[in-house]
Amino acid sequence: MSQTIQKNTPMLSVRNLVKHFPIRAGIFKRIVAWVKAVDGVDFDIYEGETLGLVGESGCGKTTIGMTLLGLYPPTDGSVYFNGEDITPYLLPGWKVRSYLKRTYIEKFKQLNHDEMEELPDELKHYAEVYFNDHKGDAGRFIRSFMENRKEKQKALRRKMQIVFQDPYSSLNPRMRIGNIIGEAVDVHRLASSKEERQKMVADILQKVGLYPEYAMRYPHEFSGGQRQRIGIARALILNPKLVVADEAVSALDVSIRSQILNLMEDLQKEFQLTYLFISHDLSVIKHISDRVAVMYLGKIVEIAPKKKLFERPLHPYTVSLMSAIPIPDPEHKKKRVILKGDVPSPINPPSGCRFHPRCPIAREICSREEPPLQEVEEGQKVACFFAGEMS
Amino acid sequence: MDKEYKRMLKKFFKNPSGVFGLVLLIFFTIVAIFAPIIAPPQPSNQYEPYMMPIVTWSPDPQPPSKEHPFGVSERRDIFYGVVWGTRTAFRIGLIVTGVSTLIGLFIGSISAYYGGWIDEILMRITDIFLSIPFLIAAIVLTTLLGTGLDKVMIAMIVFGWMGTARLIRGNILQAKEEQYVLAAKAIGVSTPGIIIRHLLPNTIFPVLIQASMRMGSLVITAAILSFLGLGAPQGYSDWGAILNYARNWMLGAHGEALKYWYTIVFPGTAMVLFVLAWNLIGDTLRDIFDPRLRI
Repeated sequence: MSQTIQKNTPMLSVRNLVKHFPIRAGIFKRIVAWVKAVDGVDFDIYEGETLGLVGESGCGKTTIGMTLLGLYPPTDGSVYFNGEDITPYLLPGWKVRSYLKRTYIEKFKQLNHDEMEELPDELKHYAEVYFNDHKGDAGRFIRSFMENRKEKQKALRRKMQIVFQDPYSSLNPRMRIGNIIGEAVDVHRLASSKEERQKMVADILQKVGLYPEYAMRYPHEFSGGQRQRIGIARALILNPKLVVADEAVSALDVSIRSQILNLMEDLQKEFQLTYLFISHDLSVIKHISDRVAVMYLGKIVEIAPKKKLFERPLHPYTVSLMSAIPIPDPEHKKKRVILKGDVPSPINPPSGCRFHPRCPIAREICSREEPPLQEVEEGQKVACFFAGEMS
Repeated sequence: MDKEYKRMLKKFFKNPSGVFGLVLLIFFTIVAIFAPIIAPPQPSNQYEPYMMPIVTWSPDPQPPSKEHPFGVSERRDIFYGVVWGTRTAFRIGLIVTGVSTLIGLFIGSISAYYGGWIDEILMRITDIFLSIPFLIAAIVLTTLLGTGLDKVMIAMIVFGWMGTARLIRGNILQAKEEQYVLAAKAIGVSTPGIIIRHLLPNTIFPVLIQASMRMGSLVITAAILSFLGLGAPQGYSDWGAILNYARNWMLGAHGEALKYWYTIVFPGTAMVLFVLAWNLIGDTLRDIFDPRLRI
């Protein structure tokens, strides 16, 4: 279904997203190093699709999800939601000014009015706002982002929600289910009365396959699968457009896993949801995704429609991942690509292509230059100089 | 009532020392509430019922008698002082513990939640307060403010919040990594909302236990200050003050070491039992809330 929609403008665009975590040491808490959890990531999510984000643990998948929701402020880069730059609302207030200066104002100041047409789309929109709405006044431009910041952040939270990995730690053990789910209703003042709030909670509980009576119970009275349903209900009561599912089924039993996956698919149809589905489990990703992005050490190495990626992966890392999927057929002799060594530390990633120390087809250029994420086939972007050589 | 709380109450009442502590506490509460009936103030000091009446002009202590069941010390009726001193003990304990716990909760939770520089500054301030010996600090402060029970209480509050702040900080540092906190942030719950609704309910029990333990020890501290002459004014019903009167009689008379035993035993027993009650309750609460002991 995503094929037809994909031509439209993306719902969520991520451009050069960077998230570095400082490592502090000593009495003065000096920053001694940076963990480059996410180091320059670009991708788009289109309305109604499910983008699977796959990679081994520690590659930065979860960090991307958290950053998109504003739970971690991004170090660099921009995030656009329906074409609007939402980065100022993800950053802490005191960083907004420098972000806007760096991203927009400095570029616009050197710009002649007739050069506007040549700007990339994202910049063009704000160039118009800057020159037409604010008459080139940087202060007014910045203020327009700072005004009603809290309300705008809240509005954004209604559009983007997250389902967490661990069904045991993601529900406050001292709150009743009704309050866990209903808290969002209170914060966003979605209900005008107690009865309405109760009804909203009951409705959403039914939608995720639980009884409305459960609202009076505490989290410890539920199983892992039920708790994950509650987590989904909490995200959906705000009626979001985009849901980030951060390893939403990884902690569950295999039998429960398919139930929750099916529930998520049903809900996607019912609420017209768009998913960013983060998982390390290829079979889950294969089941639910329309397109898949493969991450390695803070970078996206390949992004493609699911079918293409699973049939003919082009990046050597993806090839080795695919070869690790077990095939339940004893007669089938498959060529396994076993990588040598371990994932390098994200504190000090390898030069050039981050995969080159482990890559079976690495050559001299790979350690020198970083391969850009380029469209190799239609809809299939790969960050490798020798894409397709191993497939 | 709630299942969880029912279970906790049940556990509390299964614990004999907890029940004993509770009984003691109820006894003290009754004494405090009915003090005007148990030891009615004389018409002469009706407007200052906390002042122990002067019952004799002889400076020597008088042993317990029908009129003065706990005896007389420094011309004042010990029984009256012990009964009305219960009120003083509760007042010191509740106010000092309450206010210092609130201050500690505020500083500790802000410090832990925001982290970074705020944490660093607040914790160093805490360290400074911790590094000052409490008694000396209290003496200096009461010298500055003047003596009196309220001044003693201020000194105890000013130098009594650090333990709570550290305790809650540690607990919140642990709890704030839980995913339900992230989920609340993702929903858009405000920072005070996250601290009050999510973090404190999951971290406050150790603080409550600590507070109940401290309630008792604070009364001892107040008594120490009174004993040093910093606390209550002359004649005020306060266990520590009554002990202070006994200073001259502690060693007894020539050849009779225990002659004036009643000047110490009655107020001392009251104090020991009061502290014991709070400690037993605190211990029992810890047993109940400690998840490692939960079956």
